[in-house]
Amino acid sequence: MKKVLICFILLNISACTSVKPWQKGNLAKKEMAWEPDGMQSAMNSQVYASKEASRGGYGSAGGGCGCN
Amino acid sequence: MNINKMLGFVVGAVFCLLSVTSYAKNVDNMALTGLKGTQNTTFKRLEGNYVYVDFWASWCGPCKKSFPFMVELQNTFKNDNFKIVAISVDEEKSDAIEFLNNNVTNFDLYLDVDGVIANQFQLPGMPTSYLIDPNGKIISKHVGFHKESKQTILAELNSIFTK
Repeated sequence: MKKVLICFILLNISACTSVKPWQKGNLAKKEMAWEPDGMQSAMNSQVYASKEASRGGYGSAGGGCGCN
Repeated sequence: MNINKMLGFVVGAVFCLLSVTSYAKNVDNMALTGLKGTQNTTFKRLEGNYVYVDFWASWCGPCKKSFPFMVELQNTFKNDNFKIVAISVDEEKSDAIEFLNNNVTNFDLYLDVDGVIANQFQLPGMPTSYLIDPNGKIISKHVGFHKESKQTILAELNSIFTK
């Protein structure tokens, strides 16, 4: 019972909050994207692959307004 | 399925139905701040018309794509008791104005900077549009804007206005 109560309290004092769909304006900004410039990113990948003689192992999802 | 699960399902369905209709009642007296020449008003004053309420923002790509469609809708149904109410949820009015300067509109524009109206409707996503009947009851809701959205919305409006 004590453990349940502690878990409950910890969950409620958490700083996590959900962002409402209409509040995602900042997430949609270009500077919030992992790779704001697609062409620059492609060039960097090409240079890296040429130097390292290997490719891959990068990339991530995230950012954006979540529209649609 | 046992009786408890069925009962739970019925109660949940009734609750959902009530919550959708209660949004329309709660927004009746909410003020709509006009944008770009549109006069301030309230939802109550819009009763008597079929109202297509669209929530948009300058940072929302699909919203930009939906604007030409809304212009087309307003032109198509301009002789019927149909109004489009486009509400921007931009936190900065200047962002909304800049967006509107680059996009043609022929419908009423409003601003909800603090997200009060958006919060009341509990928007599930961006963009979201609602079709509200003359009594203020929400008939349908569309989340997002896709190619299929145009056909669905047009079909709904045609079924209302070509009876």
